[in-house]
Amino acid sequence: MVDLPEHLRKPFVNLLLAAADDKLFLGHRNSEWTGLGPILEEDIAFSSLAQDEMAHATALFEVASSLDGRSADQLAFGRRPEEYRCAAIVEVPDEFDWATAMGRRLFCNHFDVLRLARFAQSAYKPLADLARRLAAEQQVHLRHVNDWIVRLGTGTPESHRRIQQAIEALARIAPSLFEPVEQQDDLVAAGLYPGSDGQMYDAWRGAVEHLLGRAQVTARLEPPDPGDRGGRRGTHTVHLAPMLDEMCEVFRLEPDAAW
Amino acid sequence: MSKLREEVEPVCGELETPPEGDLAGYVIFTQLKAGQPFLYAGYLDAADDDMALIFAREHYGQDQECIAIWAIPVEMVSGTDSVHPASHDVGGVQTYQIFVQPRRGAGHISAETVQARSPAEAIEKAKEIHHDPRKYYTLWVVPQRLIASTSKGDLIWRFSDQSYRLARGYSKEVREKWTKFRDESALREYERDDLKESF
Amino acid sequence: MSGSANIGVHVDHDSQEDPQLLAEFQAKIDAGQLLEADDWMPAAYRKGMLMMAEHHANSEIIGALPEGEWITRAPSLRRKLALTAKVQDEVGHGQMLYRVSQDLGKTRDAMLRDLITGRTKYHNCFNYPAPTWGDIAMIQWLIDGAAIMNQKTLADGGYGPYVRTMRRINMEEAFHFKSGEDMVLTLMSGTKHQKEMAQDAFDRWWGPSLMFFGPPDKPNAHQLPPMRWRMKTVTNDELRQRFVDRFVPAALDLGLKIHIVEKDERGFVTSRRPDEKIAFNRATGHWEFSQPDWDEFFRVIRGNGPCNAKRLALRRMSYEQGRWVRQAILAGSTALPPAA
Repeated sequence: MVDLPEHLRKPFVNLLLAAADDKLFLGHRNSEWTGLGPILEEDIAFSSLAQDEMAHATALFEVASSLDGRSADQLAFGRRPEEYRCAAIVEVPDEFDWATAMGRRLFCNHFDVLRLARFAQSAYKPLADLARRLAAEQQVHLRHVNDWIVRLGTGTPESHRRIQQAIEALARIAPSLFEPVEQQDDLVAAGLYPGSDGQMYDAWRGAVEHLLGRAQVTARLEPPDPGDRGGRRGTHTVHLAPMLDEMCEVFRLEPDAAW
Repeated sequence: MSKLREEVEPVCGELETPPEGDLAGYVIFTQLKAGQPFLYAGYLDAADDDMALIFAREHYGQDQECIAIWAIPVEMVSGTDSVHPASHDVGGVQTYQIFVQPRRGAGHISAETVQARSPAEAIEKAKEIHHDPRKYYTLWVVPQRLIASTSKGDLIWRFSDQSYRLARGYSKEVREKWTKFRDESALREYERDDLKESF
Repeated sequence: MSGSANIGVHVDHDSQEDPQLLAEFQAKIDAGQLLEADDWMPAAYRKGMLMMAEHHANSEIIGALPEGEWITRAPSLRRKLALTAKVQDEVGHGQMLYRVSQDLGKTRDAMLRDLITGRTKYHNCFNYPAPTWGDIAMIQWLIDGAAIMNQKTLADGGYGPYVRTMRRINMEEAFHFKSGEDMVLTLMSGTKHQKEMAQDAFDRWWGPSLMFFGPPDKPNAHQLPPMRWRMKTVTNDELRQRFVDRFVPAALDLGLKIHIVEKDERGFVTSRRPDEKIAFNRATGHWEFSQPDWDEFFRVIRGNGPCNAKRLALRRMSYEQGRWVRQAILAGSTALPPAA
């Protein structure tokens, strides 16, 4: 059976929530484009990826729910802002700028591949099994975003300028994906989240920079400052609360009702 | 963005930018199971083969479970119909994929391949194989090397639960909920109607 | 979602056509054969099919907007996923239907430009507001229900490429309708507040649902080109009656009341009274009902509905903001330059 020491339950739930929240809000932000994409075919494709993110979030919330007691929907819609564990990069709005929407996916998708690889090795079997399944779908996402970034980077002078600008702006907050959740070291030591953040960061940065090189786009990525308190520990950008107010507008009308 | 959706200013009059024209048309085929033929799925517009496949995966690839996709530039299709005239220009011998439209209104289905020096010759060879014109409405041929294909083992249909986007994902719950409002016999009648012409 | 072939398309019979060809064409239609793009067809038929598919495609693309507003507010993970998928399907339907018209000779770009500059129309019902989650439930139940009824008959039409597309679309509509039915059932099984939300939304959407099938039939509907040429196979009033026969008893069983309403210019209900005509007529085997406000219908279709300007503005913004993206992929691609 599952080997999860009681004192690690809360930090482990937070680790699951960090992944679920990232995916929920990435999917939420991407779904804002549904019906308004730059090309009909891409509108459809982008919605498909948004659904994947939200479906992955749902699956991760369900694992968290089995340990936490609250339902997946309560976890998604019913927490206070400081209880969310997402990184800043999924909180910022894209202001209907395709370069920002795609740039965000670049940083997040490459991060997710690596995080899922670590989850797949977790001593907590329900998570490991889920992560292996999600990893296959994540490859579809990588292919999509890599293709787009290269097209935008090497398309027209305008598209190059726009994606360069978007990547520069996002690169400032992207490393916050690596902020550890509370007691993450203990989770690593217990085999619940095997691997090291340092190696993961190097792999992520290498993959992102390689792709950006192909796209003729440059970015300055700095390792996260361990002193910075961010979303992984409940300190969020100003964008999270309004996004939650919108997302939960109907849910909060009758939080205990079925919808 | 919802705010942006709500606050967008109404603009009237002509567009300031010139017409853009369309991207290239592609016809998409999907293979549902290994060893089965590729079935017509639909069309889409894309800038090139790679993009056509990316788009096709997320649209026609998600309509039903499938394992492989072909994307073919419409320009490269030659047929027995007048919409896709077959060129007589002779080149090196190459392999052509045949597609058969079984009857009017039906979609095309992949069939044999033939070796030919021109699309017109490929059509003639396809007609030799499909010699009974009562058994099909049109034939298409496409140079096999021009068919963009997903790779073997590529994931197209997702592993994640897809029930939220399928009618069958709701049937059971809907039925249960109706039992609060309707008795069994009325419900059966209603469901029978569901399957009839109205729905 | 829409399936809106019943309005906005006027096909004129063109007497200039070769009578021999016209007779052969009519014989194929009457024999129930499906036409393919390379069959001879009267110019008016070709033009009518192009316009019908274009109008239908426009309706899908604009129809994505009122529901699109609620994706970010859907109240559960499953509803959020379902609504995204549903709106996505509509964009997909639009894309497939534009292709039918592209093959009949008009570029998609020209169609999108005509749509956002107001030269062409889309289905009337998308000019109404969706102010609550209840509206999302009712749109998916009533409007998608109406669309399925309509599109099933369009799939029996005579033009092969359109029929093929319609069959594909109908497979997906079943999900839309079932999820809508589930949402309505959930609200009507829920709290007092949820039931009120459903009733208020029902009041807003019952009229547009009845209008969905287009204005009352002309006396000679069966002889006019759209039906004679099997571009459509059932008249507006026949479809409307089928819809009423199915949805009135369902609504009554759920505890919904059918009202005749008055609305303000924003599309919000200002007063309502019971539709006293609602009753099952044993003699005819059909439900009786009051006709919707056809003056309102024609007012909205002329562009003066509550949301006409808003819908077009948003679609236009999408087109204009997407231009640099489309230019980028064209510049980097190996494809042929776009057709003029």
